[in-house]
Amino acid sequence: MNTIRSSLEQRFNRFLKKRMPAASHHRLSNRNIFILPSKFGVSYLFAILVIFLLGTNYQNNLILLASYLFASLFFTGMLYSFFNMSKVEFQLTSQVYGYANQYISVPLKVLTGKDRYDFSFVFKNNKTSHKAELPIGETVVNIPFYSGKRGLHNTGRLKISSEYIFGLFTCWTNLDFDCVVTTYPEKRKFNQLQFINASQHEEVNGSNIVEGGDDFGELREYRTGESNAQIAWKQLARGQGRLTKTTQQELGSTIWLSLDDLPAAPIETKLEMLCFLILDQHKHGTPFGLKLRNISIEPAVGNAHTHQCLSALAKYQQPSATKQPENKVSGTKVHV
Amino acid sequence: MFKRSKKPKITTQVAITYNVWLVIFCQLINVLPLILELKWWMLLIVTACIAWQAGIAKKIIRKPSTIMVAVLSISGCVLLALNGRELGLLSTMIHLITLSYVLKAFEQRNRGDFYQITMLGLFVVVASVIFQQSIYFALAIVFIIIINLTLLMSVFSPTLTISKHLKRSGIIVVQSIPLTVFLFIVFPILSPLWEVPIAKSAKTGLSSSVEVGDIASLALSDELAFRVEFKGAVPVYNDLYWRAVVMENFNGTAWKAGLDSTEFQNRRFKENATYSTSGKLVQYQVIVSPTYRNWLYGLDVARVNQMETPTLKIVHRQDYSLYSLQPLTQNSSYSVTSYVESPMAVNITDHSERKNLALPLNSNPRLTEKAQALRKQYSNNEELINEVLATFTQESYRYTLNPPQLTNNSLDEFYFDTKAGFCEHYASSFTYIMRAAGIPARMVTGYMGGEFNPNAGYFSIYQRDAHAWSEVWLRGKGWVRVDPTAAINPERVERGLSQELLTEQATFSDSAFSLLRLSNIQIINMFRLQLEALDYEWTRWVIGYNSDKQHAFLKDIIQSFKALKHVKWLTVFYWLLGLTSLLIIWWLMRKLSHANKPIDANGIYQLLLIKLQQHGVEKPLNFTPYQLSKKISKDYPELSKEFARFTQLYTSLMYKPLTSNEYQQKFTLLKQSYQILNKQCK
Repeated sequence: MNTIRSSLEQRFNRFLKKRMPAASHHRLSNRNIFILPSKFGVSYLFAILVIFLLGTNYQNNLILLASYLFASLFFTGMLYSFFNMSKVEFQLTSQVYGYANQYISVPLKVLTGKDRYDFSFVFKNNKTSHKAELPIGETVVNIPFYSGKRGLHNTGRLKISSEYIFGLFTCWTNLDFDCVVTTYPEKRKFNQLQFINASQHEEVNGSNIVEGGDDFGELREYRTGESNAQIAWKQLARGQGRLTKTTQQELGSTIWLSLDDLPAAPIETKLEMLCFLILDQHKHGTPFGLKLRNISIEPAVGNAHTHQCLSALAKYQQPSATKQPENKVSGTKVHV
Repeated sequence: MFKRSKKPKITTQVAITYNVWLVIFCQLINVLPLILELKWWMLLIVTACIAWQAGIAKKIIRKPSTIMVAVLSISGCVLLALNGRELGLLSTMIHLITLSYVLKAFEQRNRGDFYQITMLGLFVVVASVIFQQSIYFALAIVFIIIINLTLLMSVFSPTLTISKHLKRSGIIVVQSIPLTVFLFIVFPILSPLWEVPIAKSAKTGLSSSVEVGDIASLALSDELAFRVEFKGAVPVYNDLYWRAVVMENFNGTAWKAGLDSTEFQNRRFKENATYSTSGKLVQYQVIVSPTYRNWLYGLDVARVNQMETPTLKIVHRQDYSLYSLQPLTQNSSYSVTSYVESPMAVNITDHSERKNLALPLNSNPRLTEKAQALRKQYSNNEELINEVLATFTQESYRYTLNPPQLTNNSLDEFYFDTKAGFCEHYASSFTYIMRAAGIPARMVTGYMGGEFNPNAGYFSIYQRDAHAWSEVWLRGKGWVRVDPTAAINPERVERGLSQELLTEQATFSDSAFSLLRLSNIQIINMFRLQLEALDYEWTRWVIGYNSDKQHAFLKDIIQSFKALKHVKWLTVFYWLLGLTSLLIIWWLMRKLSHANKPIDANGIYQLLLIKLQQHGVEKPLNFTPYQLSKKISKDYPELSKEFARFTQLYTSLMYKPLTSNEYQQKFTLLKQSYQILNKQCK
């Protein structure tokens, strides 16, 4: 029984792959919309049959008319359901980041030329995100995805469904956006590690000035991905555009975080410790570098650097699940 | 070492939200059409449940516990079981479904419950159609269905307002009508698949027995009894005696039709009433309103053209009346040929003669005495009859709808003392005198006359046209109709109820307001006749549409396609015209529903974004309109100028404080700019 089921599922997946190949952008049409009566729709059909029999047995034309009207409404409802779905466009960024064992929201951009209703978005075995209305224009829907273990995960197909207009039909589609979630190690607290932290300081020669630290340095143009805390709000309010306040710090206290310097623990725990340390450094704005077995990331500060380090942790000793080179950083939502 | 956090459980179903007041309103109007069919205690339960729900919605009362609901439903079922015999199976089932409908509302927890309620609601609405089928009722039902759809839709698009939902569901129903009509015309109409319990409503109309005063009280009703459409010649008004029941048995107070259940099995209904097919004949179609009785109507001598219709099994009775073996529970029609000049039963059997001379001993001694005196005076039957009729005109007899009460229905008392009565008083006394004088005679009830509707060319016969007359058997002539009313109130048989009688009728009738009362006001009467004509066409074409008509209709269409030589081009033209106009209406409605949607600057901007995306320009999420404009001027110089103008208009519309005049100006410019860009994008 189970094998039949799984083989059917495989077949269906192959069919989907052929018919609806992966892309970052999808537009719904009769090529990729499925529509079938819902449970309610099936019982509604049964009710129509009962009403028809009632009308036949009583030779009552009005009851027959009522059953025909209900049948026609079923048909019209189907068309409405379909048109509620068709011509909607979706775009999903191919790269998303998050920590292990938590729900991360995957932002989906929806474009529509008219108002749409009752949309549900769900990744397989995940929580559903429901939108009662998708207004005309552009909307961003955050769809929860449970990150699970550390590593690189493909989100799989996104099921988008709607039961508008009467709930008689479920109209759905399974879209493959080829979206890869880079899952960092789990975010946990290792308070005892702070002491180790202190012993990792290294003297660096020269008087390079590195961004970060507590002393105010200069204002420069905002770069995507930088923390909101660093935006110069006053200047923004004055209409000077989005600027970033940088702080300068002597590079006298650069830290190297290394896998080898951690106390003995399973590798996953060690990575979690590193994750904690990286975040800790990021919070304090201290420049830090990362050394894994064969990877070494030069000391620096800032969001981009932190993400680079965390991604290295995520990919550490993991087979690469990505099909596309990861170079797109813009437009992703990252929880720090 | 460390506890891993477990993945939280997933709930797959999206919680359902709906407007509680809409649900309550829906329940109210779904039960409303059944209000006449439900018992008072059921109505009490329904009202209480709906009021309770309103209380819950207002947070005055708490939700009843499961036990409470169980107690309510069990007590309802017990009440039903106790009343089951009186109610009949169909009515019991309708009570049951209504009960479950109102009680189910207390346990709305999830989607499934909501769907069940909606479905039960639809059943309740449809069930009401078993009892009433007029066009107005049908329209009301359609409206109720629209409300139900509104409720259903409001669950799936909760952001819209109720009026929007109402409009949308109305549009959907209108869009569904062409297919409905198509199915109705084409889908095969089957004969009943199995026996169903028939509606056991209160019987109306003429019954198989009559006492003095019965017809007078029936005549107070303005209800429609039946309609007739003649094919060809229409008889004059005073020939429109619609025979319904013939009563040959008199027990001293009441006349009864000879009828017992064994008669059907004994095949005594076999056609043995003689008639001749020579002479004038009249053809017509009768559509009867449901009476829940078996009597049908026809002009003498009525012969039905088709004995079995989908709803009727008609027999010709020996007394020349028409009888359906099934009670009339819905509007039904049959077609009749009447041989108006044919004599009835020229030869009478001994059995029949004895039966029509029988009188109970000492029932009305003074009348018997009078009859015997007359018999001595006149040996000729016709002379005797004329003398009796003459008495009615010469003496101070009064024709009234509100005669004084008689003790024991004594005909003596009427004839000699009160001298005031309606048709059945006169017919009854006359028949009695005839029998006492040795002339075979019997009572006939039916309807007299009818109102012609010029808008649709048919006659309406109302209950107030109910009439009773007499029949005497004369040697060589057979049964001959004698109507004493013609002697006492000739106006009645010439034109119908006189103005005085109508005034009386309006005074004593306790039925609700009816337009029929206002027939003397020209414009109201025209309006009423128009409405009735509409209802007539509805009854004829929709309620009366059956497999025969379907067959004929489809055959007609197929034939016209087959033999293109004989195509009824006009018919085809009408069909095309109808279909195209439907299409145009549909298209217009779509257009209108789009046009009505107010679009603001943001809407236009979003539309343009969609257009741009089709063109290949994509707006990154975090781009401001200004940034996008810069990007476009870089990547698509051909669009740059117009887009910069568009962006400038858009931002000023969105963020600048503008007077409404300025806003309108800029908005028009924005629209123009959008049009230009739209063209350029192509």
